[in-house]
Amino acid sequence: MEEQDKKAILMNTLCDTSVMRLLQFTDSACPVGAFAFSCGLESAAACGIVHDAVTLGEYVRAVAMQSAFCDAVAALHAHRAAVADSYGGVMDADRALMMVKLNDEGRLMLMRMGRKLIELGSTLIKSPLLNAFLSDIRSGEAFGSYPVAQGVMFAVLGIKEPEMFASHQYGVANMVLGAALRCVKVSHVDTQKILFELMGEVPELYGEIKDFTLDEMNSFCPEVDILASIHEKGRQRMFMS
Amino acid sequence: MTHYTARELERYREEPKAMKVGTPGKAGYLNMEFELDTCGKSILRNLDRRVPVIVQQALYFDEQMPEMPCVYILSSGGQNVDGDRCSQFVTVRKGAFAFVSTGAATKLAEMRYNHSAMEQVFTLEENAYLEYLPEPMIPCRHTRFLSCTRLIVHPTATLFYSEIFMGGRKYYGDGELFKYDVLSVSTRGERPDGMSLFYEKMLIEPYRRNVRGVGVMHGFDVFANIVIMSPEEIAEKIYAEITPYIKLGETALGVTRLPGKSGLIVKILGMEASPVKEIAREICSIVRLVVKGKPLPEEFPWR
Repeated sequence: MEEQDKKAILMNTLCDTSVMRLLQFTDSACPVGAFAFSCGLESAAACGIVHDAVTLGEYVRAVAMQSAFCDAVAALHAHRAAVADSYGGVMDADRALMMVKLNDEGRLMLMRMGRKLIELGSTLIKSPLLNAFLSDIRSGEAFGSYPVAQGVMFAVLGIKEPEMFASHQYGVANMVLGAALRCVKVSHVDTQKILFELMGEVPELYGEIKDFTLDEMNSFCPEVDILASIHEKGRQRMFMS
Repeated sequence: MTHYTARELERYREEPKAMKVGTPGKAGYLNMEFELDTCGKSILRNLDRRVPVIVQQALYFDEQMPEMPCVYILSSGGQNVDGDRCSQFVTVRKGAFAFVSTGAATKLAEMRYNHSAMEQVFTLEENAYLEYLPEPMIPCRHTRFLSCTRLIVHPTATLFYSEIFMGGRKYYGDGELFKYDVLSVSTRGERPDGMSLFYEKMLIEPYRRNVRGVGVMHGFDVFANIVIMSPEEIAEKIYAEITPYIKLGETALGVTRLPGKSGLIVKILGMEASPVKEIAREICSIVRLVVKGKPLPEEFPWR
């Protein structure tokens, strides 16, 4: 290969803005409020259920699996609908997801973060789809759940489905691990080890759920559900969930 | 009779060698309709059943609510075996009320070729009230069980719907916990006009995904799921009465509001069936107290 061709390939890779967009909207600094939620970890730590790196790893895995088999399925459907320019499909995914999110604080979390993401997106990008979704969120026509918002945003940005799934899973795990640094006795190295291990399983997980219909979204984490309920009716409020 | 299907059971469709799917005795059917008679008494007006389902005569034994028909559903076939299918429909007409349970725990037998499936539809009309409090289900080694339930509830009615699942035959041999193949349990809440309110699908495949991790079953062996569909003001009173907690090695309880202000969902975890059943009855008693002004009577000592 000619040196000039090599340079051209390198430039194209670096200038592939979808990668940069993926990094920007996956980063924990993306202002959607993820830092305010712990997905029940605050209660798990207070009850002594999660107290070290091992128990934290198991807890994050449970939350990540729940998210993969439920929220991520809606995100994929929303992404496909947005790519196909089917606004009805986006709304279907949004409604279906909120029907299966049986935890009150969990629904609140998804709606707040989703709205923030779409507000940010419509400020940064000119997209009729994002504007329509934001308008429906504001009027109460749409819930604007975060995974569906991610699906729409990433489709508009040209980010492909598997990358969006990876970003979604990373975001969920990173949110709980970020919270862990504030309420569980673990180090940054511990949390990075957990994240590294979990992210290694993402491709296999994607293969497992990519063909799921919205009716196939499922979840079985009774202890997480109970801890979320303890938080919902409790007084600890370092986090909103 | 419609039988639902699911992707997770696709690999378990081989015809059982002993009796094929659909053979009389393997396809149970039950239709029960409760309504108020001309004197305002709640009665079991219509009953239609096919073997192996048996329904005992409606009795009025509840000391706190002697006006309430109490019905036990039984099975002449014993445990659910490979290839069994069952459909049950329970309707409570306008203003009527009832208590429905099962005579004993339902054992889901070991399966080799096919799976066992159950579809249920509970329909509650205006101001109706139903307590559905069956005994636990016990999945054995290689059990594959599919349950699809629709709860069609009028906005003025109240339904207490509970399910208790054991992790397995805990004291069989060296212990047989979470050795089943698939437990796929889905519940859909709807209004009579068809509006969907919520949907829950629990898919448990212990051989594929560890259920013993923190956040899932952890150290607990039994779990119960209770759906309470009721008007919002009633649900809020019930919600205020339930205090969530977790005691590792004992029991745990959680409650949250369902989407669409349609009621509550309660989760219970425990080490044994008895304390979980006891908590489920306590929750049912709270519901009855709020809706009917009377608690549940003490449980029979032999239950």
